[in-house]
Amino acid sequence: MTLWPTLRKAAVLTSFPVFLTACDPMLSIQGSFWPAWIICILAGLAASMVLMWQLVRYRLAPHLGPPLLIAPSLWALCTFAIWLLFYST
Amino acid sequence: MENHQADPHVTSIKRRLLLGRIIGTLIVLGALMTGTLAWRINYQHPRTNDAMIRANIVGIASEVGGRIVELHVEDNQYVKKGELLYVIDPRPYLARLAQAKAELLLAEKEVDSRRASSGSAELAIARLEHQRAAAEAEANRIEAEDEYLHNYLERIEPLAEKQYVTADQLKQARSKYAASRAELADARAKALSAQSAIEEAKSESRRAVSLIAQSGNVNARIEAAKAVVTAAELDVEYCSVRAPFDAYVTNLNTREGEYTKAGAQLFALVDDRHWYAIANFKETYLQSIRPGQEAEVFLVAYPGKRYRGVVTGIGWANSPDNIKQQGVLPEVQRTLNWVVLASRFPVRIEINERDPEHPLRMGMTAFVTVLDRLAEIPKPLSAKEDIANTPPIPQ
Repeated sequence: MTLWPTLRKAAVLTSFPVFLTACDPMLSIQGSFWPAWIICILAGLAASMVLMWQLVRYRLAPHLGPPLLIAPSLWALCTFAIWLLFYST
Repeated sequence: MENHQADPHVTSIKRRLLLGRIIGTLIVLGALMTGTLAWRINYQHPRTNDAMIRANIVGIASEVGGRIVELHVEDNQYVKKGELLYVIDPRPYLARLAQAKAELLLAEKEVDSRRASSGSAELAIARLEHQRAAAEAEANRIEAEDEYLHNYLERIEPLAEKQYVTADQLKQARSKYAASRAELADARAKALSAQSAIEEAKSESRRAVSLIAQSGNVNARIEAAKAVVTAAELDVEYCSVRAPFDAYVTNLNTREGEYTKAGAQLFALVDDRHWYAIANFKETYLQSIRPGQEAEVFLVAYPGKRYRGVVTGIGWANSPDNIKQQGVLPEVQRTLNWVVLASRFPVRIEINERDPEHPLRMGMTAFVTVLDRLAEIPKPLSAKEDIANTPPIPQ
């Protein structure tokens, strides 16, 4: 029950690159074009921060494992997942 | 009571511990799996944002120089194959054409005249042959008479010693013989003269034949004059410059009255029959790219618009940046490059899709993805089909 709003937030956050780029593989900011991987890294960072915050909130964070491994892995997971979902095809 | 309170707490901690371990493991495994998948997809479908749209560009120049008297196109206009672009003042070239035609007529008349001269020379040779035959016959006659006179003289000389013939008769015979010898010499000289005249006439005849310049059925003089006429006609034709293919006029910054030299480019035509994306792929991706593979081209100018294309080839040569030469010796830089950047090779992708609402322009920034399958789209349209199927894009 309590996880649902979290997932919804995460979904909204991860879908913002789609609205930014209209499914294009590049993001245009005033004539400068940014590649998809930068967008994915930034969106992945934001998504991983939200997810980690939720994990801390539900007191699961201390039990996940070594933070030096888990935090980058979560970031990488979010980054790759966003890339696979929106930019791989 | 304390055990009852502690048990749910411990159970909760244990559950959290277990759930945390599972989530942590899933996070690490998920990162590895999605990373591997992303790497694999990226390798199978190479993509680059170092790409640009381009078309074939042809500089338009006239074959002849002169002042532009008509200019039928505007900058950025669409023109079809054969459409008149501009006209150079044709009057000087028309005058040259008229002159060349007149020279052709003159050449024909001259050849006729020389043929007539050659005929006269042949007749003269025949006449001289007759004269020589007559001279030889005269010489033979005189020679026979000379022989008779010689024999007669030989006969009467012994008789004169015995006084059987008079001294006057002997003198007369000697005189006749001497006259005959002189006539014979004269006749032989005339025959030789006739022979010389024949040789001269033959030489003259050969010269006349050479001047006709006939070789088989071809007369060089007339052919040369005809070639000049053809060149003059071509020059007149070149005064009207036409579009060699369906294209867009670009960089036209002049009007009527401009003087243009032969070969000077006035503006350029952008070939509308074939459009390409030139994508510079890292060499590490080249083994995943083959001609015939399908490619997707995104243009930053048209967000969300996707063009389909086909890989037509990969560049065979890049200028190697580690080969420099100073004089006759190679110039080798001292270097300590630990990180080596991959070279990039241009991959040519022909874009088959056209959209009048989203026209392609050379130089547009593109993002290209080469797909792991052969293109199913038909081969690029020919120029004739292009005219039928592709409406000109409004500018």
